[in-house]
Amino acid sequence: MKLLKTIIALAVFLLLASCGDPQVDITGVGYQSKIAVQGYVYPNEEIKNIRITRNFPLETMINPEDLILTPSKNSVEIKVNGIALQFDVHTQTYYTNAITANFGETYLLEVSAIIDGEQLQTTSATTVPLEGFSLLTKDLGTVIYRTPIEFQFTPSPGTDFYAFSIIPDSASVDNFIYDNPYFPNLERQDVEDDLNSFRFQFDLVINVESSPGSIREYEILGLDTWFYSTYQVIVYAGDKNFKDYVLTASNVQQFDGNFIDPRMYFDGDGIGVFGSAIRDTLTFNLVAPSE
Amino acid sequence: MKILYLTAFFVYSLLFNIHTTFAQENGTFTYSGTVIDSTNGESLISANVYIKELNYGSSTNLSGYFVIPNVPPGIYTLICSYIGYKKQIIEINVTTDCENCITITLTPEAYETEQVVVSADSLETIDRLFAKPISQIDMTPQEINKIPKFVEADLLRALQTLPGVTALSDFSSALYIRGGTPDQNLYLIDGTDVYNPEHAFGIFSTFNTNAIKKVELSKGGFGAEYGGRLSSVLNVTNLDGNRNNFEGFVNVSMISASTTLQFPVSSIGSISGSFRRTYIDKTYAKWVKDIPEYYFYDGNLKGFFEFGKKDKLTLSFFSGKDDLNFKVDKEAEESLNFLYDWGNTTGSINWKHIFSPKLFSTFWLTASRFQSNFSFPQVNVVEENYLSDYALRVAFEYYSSNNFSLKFGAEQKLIHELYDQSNNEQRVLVDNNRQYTSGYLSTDWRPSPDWDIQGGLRVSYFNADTTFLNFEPRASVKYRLTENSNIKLAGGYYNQYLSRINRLFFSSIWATVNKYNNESSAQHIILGYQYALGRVYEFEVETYYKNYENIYFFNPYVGADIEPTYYDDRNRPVYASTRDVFIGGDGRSYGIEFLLRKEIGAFTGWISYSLATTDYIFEEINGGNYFSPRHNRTSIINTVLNVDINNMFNELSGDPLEYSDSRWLFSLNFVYTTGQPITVPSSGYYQNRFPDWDEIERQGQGNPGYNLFPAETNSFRLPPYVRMDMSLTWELEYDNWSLAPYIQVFNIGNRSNVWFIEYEDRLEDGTIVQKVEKVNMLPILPSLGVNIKF
Repeated sequence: MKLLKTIIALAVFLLLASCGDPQVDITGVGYQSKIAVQGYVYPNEEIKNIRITRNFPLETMINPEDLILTPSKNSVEIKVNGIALQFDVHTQTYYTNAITANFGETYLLEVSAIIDGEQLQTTSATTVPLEGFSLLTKDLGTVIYRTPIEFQFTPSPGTDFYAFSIIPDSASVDNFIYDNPYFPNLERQDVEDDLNSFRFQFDLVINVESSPGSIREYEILGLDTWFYSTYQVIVYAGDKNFKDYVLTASNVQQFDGNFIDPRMYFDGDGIGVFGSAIRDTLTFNLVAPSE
Repeated sequence: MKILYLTAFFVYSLLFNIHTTFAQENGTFTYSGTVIDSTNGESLISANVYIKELNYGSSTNLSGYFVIPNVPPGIYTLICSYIGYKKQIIEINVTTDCENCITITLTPEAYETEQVVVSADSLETIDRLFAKPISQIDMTPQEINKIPKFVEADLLRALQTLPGVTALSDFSSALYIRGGTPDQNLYLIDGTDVYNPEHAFGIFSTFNTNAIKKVELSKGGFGAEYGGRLSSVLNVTNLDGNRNNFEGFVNVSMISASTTLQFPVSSIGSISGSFRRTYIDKTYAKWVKDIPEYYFYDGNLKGFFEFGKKDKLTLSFFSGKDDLNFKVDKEAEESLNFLYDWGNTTGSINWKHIFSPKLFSTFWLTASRFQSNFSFPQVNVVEENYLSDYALRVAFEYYSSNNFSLKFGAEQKLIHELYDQSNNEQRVLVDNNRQYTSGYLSTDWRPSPDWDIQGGLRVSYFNADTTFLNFEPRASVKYRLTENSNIKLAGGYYNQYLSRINRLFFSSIWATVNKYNNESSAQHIILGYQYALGRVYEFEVETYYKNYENIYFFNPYVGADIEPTYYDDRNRPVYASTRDVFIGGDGRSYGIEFLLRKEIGAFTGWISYSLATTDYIFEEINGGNYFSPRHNRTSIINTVLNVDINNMFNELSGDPLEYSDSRWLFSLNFVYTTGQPITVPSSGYYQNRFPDWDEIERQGQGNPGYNLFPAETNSFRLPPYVRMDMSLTWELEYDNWSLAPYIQVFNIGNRSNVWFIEYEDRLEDGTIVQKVEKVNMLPILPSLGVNIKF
C-alpha cells in the first residue's frame, strides 16, 4: 500500500506540475541602441529624403516624434562622400544639393548620433546600377479586371533585382473589388480592418537576365490589385543593399516562428538600408468588366 | 563497382569454402532453429535460446532464426525465453549438424510474475540487457498502444517518450535523437528506406502500429550493417501474418478508422494487410467551414511464404498518401485555393536462405518513392517533388563458432531526385541520378561469457557529380561487470549523402550531396552501464559524445544568394543545382541518460532523465559563433506508467497476478523538458519597405513598416515544456473476440506550452504600443476510440 500511495502522490504531483500558463518576458533581451537608416540614391537626382531614426526596446510606449534623430536632439552628423547633409524640419529627413548621383558611382554614408546618452556611429556604401533600365511602356491605359496586366522592360546591365511597388491612387471600402476570385464574400468591415494590407502590394523578381539588349516581360497578378482605381507601379532596379534589405528585413521571423538576422550592410551601429536604384513608373486604370 | 566485386568474391568464398572448413570443428555440431509464437506462427525477434549445461546460447535474429555452434554430441536442456511468453524447456539430442531442425513455439503468457522470472532463470534480465546492442531500445506494438495517444496511436510519438529522443513541438512527430535532426535517422520498414514518414503535416507518422511486429531504435553507435545516416536507425519489422487462423483487428478513433487482417495460406505461409484512412474530409470538414478538405490513408500488404526449412520469401508493399484541397471559402465558386498531395510508396522482395546451419542469408530487392505535388493556380505556382530509390541488398550472418560470428553484406542503390517548381518568374529544376554502393563486414567475438567484442568496417561509395568514398570503422565492447551488471562501450564513424530541407507544414525535400556540398559525417563514442535491479527492473545509464562535420541547413537567405544555372527560352532563370540552397557547418552533442524500466507485472513503464547539450557552428549564423539549435533540450524527464488496475493490489501484496477477461488499464505519460532555445527580437524600428511607402504615417493597421531586429541566435529559452497525458482502457474478451474502448486525454493539465512568440504594434492615443504575444501548442485534448480484435 505504501508503494501505491507513493505512486498516487507522485501522479498528483506530476499533474499539478503539468498545469499552468507560463509567461514570457523578453523585455530588454539583448537590446542595443542602433541608428536606423533609410536612404536611397537615385541617378540624376540629388541626395535627399535620408531618414535617420532609432530602434527601441520591445514592449515600450513610443512617441512617434521620438523616433526621428535630429541634429538638435541627438547631435546627428551625417555625410555622403564627405559632404555634410542638412536636416529638413518639414520632411524630417536629411539632404544635400551638393551631390547629384550618377550611374555606376559609389556613395559612402557616414552617420554619428547620440542615442540614450551613447555616442553611436555607422557607415555604409552603395553603388548605383548602370544605366539601361527602362519600362518599354509607361501607361497601359484602361485595363479590365481579370485580364492580364503585362508590360516589358529592359534591365540594367549587371542588375538582376527588380522590385515592383503597386499602389492604387484611391483605396477605400467603396472602390474595393468585392467580386474577386480569391476572398469572395468579404464584408466592408473586413476590408476596412485590413485596408492597408490590400492597398500596398509589391512583387520582387530576382536573377533577371541583364545582359545588354535583353528584354524582360512581366505580369501583375490579380492578387496585387484590389481596388478599381488608377494605379502607380513604381519599378526599382536595385543594387545589392536594396535587394537584400527588401528580401530580408521584413522576413526575419521564419515560418517556424523563429528569428534570423536580416542582411544589412552597415559597419558600426547601423541598421536599415542605404541603397540605390533606378526607378521608373507605369500607370494604368483598372475598371470592372462590363455586365 | 570494385566494392561489389570484392564483396561478391568474399561471399563466394564463404558460401563454398569456409563453411565446409569449419563444419564439425573439433567433433562438435551446430544446432539451429526458429522461435515462433504458438498462436499465430509469427517468428519472434531477439528471443533468448541457450543450452543450460553448456551455459551458452544465442538469440534469434530478425527472422526468428538462431544458431548455436560448437555443441558437442549429447543430450541437453534447451531453454527458450521471451518476455511476455511462457518459457520453453526442451530436451534436445545433438548428434549431427542441424539446419533449422527445431521450431520452438512459445505461448504468450497473460501475466508473467516476478516469481516466475526468478525461479526459472535468475539471470534472464541481465542476459537480455547484455545481448542488446548499446543504445538500442526495443518496443512492441503492445507497449506503443499502451502509451496515452495524441488521438491516434503513433510509433514516432511513442518513441518521443524515450530518453535521448526529443520532439520539437506538439505538432511534430519527428524524432530528434541525441542532438541529431530527423534527416539523420534511417527509417526502415522491412528493410526498405522510408524518406518522409509523416502524415498530416508531420503530426502523425506513416507507421501503422497495428501492422508492426517489432521496433528497434538504435540511438547511436550502431554496427557496420547500417549506414547512410549520421545519428540513428529505426528498424520496423511488420507482421508476417497469422499462419494458424484468420485474425482481424479494427480501430476506430475520432479521426480515422483502421483495420488489419491476417490469414494463413495453406501450410506454407500467410498474408496480412492493413489499411487506415482518416475521415476528417467526410465529417468535420462538412460541418465546420474553416476545416479544409483533407485526408490521409496508408496501407500495407505482406505475403510470407516458407518453402521448406531453408527458404522464406516475403513480398511487401506499402503505400500512403495525404491529400489536401485548401480553399479559403469552400462554399464559393471561386476562391483562393491550392492543392497538395504527398506520400510514400515502397515495395520489397525479401528472400531468406539458410546455406548451412552456420550461414544465414537475406536478399532484398527494394523500391521506395516519396512524391509530392503542389499547385497554387492563382499565382501560377506548380511544384513536383520526388525521391526514389531502387536497391539490391545482401546480408549474411556466419556463425563460425560459439564465440565468433560474422556479418557481411553489400548494397547497391540507385537514387533519383527530382524537384521541379515553376512560376511566371523562375523555375527550379533539380533532376539528378545518383548511385550509392556500400559493403560491410562486422565480427562478433566472445572470448568468454563475460566479454563480447564487435568490430566492423563499412565502405561507402557515392557517385554524384563528383564521387565520395568513405571508410567507416565501428566497434563495441560489452563486459559483464557483475552478475547483475554490464558495461558497454561503442564508437564509430558515420557518413550521410542526403540532406533534407524542412518546410513547416509541407513535406521536406531531400537533396543529395554534390561538388558544392560534401558528405556529412559524424563520430560517436558511447559508454553505457546496465544493472538488473530486483530481477524485474532494468536500470541503464549511457553517456555519449557525438560530433558532426558538414551538416546542412536550408539557407534562410536563399532568395538573396541563389544564382541561376541558365535561362530558359522564356528568359526565366532556371536553378538546376542545390549549390546555394544549403548552408553548412559543424556541431557536437554530448550528454548522459538514465533509464529505469519495468516490463513485467501489474505496474509497467519507465522513468528516464537525460542531460544533454548540442551546439552548432555555422559561418553564416550568429556571427560564426557556437549556438544552440532549437531542438536542444538540456534536461528531459519522461515517465510512462501503465497500470493493470485489476491486478495492482495483487502485485502490491505479493499475490500472484490473475487473468481476467474483463480488465481496466490505466496509463500515464509525463514529460518535462527545458524550454526550447529561440531567437527573440532585441528591438523594433520603423522603416519603409519600399522607398515610396510612408509607413510611419500608417501605424496600427497591418503595418509592414514595423521591423524587428533579432538578438543573439537562440540565446533565449522559452519556459519549460511540461505535459501529462492519461488514458483509461476497458478490455473485454469473449471467446476469440476482444473489445477495448478507451478514453484518453492529451495535456490533461491544459498547460499552455509556448510554441513561439509573435509581436505586433498599435497606435493608441498617439503612442506606439507594442505587444508580445505567445503562441501556444495544443491545449487539453480528450478523445475516444475503440479497438476490436477478432
